[in-house]
Amino acid sequence: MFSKWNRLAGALAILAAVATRGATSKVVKIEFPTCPGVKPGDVKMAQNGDDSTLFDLAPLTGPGVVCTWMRRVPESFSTATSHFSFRIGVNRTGCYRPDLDDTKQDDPVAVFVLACCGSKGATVTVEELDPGMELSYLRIVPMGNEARRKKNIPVGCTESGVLKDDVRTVTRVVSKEKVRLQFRDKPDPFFFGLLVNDLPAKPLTRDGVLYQFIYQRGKGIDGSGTSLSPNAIEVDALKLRQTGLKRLKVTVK
Amino acid sequence: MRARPTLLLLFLAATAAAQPRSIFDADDFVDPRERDGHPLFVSRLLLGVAKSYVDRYRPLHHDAGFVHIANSFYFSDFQFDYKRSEVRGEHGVPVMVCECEEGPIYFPTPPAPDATPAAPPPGSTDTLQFAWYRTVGVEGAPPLMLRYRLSWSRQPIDTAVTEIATGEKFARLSGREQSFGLEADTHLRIRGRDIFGSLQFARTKRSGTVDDRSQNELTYTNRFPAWRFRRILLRPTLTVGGVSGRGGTALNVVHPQFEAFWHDTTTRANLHLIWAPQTIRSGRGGWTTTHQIAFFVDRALFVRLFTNEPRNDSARQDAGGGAF
Repeated sequence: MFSKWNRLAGALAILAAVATRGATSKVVKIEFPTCPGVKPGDVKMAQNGDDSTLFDLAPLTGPGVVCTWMRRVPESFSTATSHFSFRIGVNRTGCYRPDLDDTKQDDPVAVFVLACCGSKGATVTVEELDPGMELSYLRIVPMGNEARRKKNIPVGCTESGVLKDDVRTVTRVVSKEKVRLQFRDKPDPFFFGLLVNDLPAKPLTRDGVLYQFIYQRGKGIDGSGTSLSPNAIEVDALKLRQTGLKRLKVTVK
Repeated sequence: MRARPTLLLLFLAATAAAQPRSIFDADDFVDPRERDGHPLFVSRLLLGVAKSYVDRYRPLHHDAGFVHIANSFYFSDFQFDYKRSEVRGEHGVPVMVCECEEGPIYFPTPPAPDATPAAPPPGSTDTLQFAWYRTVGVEGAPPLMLRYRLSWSRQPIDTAVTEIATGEKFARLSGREQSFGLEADTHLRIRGRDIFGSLQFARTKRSGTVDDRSQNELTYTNRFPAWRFRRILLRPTLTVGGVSGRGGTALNVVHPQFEAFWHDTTTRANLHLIWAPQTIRSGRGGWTTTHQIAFFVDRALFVRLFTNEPRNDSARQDAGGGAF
């Protein structure tokens, strides 16, 4: 019910943006003033918050071209409403809107000029979970400060992904970034979930996970103010039972 | 253009009428996103005692025991509640009347208009509530959820009046107290920190008794984040505001509350211990503090989340007694 209105608002925003700027692109280019230690295959990007589908960028070579990577994406996007974030080795950037290079009018390029590279990000690993359990996550990314071009406007963004059976890690988690687990097969960007940054390092039973939900709601970090609502606890307990969760261990290193 | 002031007036009129929750009325906020949009029904029983019980900023000056049943139905972005509470406890001495020349004089003498009104005698109260949940967007994060709630409650008050000279029954008054109000959650973000609270406005009116009174309440409650001691959660709140009908104006209520909360996963019962030193001011009595302490236990009697999936027998057994 919320997502319907938000998606409608998003669609209207895209329409409005396209109407005002009329810029769509399929090419992304990123330049770093310097890029010490960054290898050619180290740069990837997430488009519009999809952390499960990272695009590899290819380094550009040529006279006078340094620290520049490029990628053509399958679907065209509005440069006014889309946002991108980049993975550079063990680091990541915040989310930014692109600048537009329309020198080639028939093939405009979304350009980013960002500082490289922040400190090493942490890795969140989910362990001791039944292999078949469905688990998704949100990354609530703080505003970045890497922009070196005015039109690369930093935006607060939420990225999401699915933790599959073999790879249950969220990598390059930077300081102040919040990772939230959702016990469902597809992430819901309108729902908060369990805040990983606030969990103890020890393994949790299902009751332990329930207690963490109660505690996080009491702290008011689940998006609805501080609450000790017994009715909400009943819903949490029921849903955790339905997932079949028995144990959960989350480490952040 | 005309709609805007009308809406504002409607809001103010509604806001001019929310009731503060009783100390034993457990929080029943359920974010609709947690239900995945499915309807939910919960019936909950609550039992407890309160030392120095206070009813809507009016001290009873006695202890009380209570039983409270709350039935909540959640669907879409809405919540309906029917609640019934039975409060039992002492309430002063029987009412007597002197048929004097200047008119009937009641004993004990009701508090003066500029004094804090007496609490209604302990009894049963029925409450109906209707709430609407609304999302508030925050850039780069899932939206926040706030609740707006209308409440109406009614307590019948029967008073047996005895003739002071003869000791014979003089009259039996069938009165009532009604309260109507609105509670609106608020959210502020200051330097990246979320501040959650609620604004309440209520009108309470007692009629058909020997001590008919009315009061308007405008209060703000700030809900501070909980912290934990082992498995016990501790949450403070602070309510400040003004209550009319007791002499003087402006701020005359300061009501901190400290709640210790423990959820037992085996029995699914919740234990609450609350200390609420309530400081109120009246024109006659000045500032006075009542240390209200309540202990109560609540447990769901029946819970049903109306999903399309078939009911799971093992989950039902887990839930304890066919609740799911």
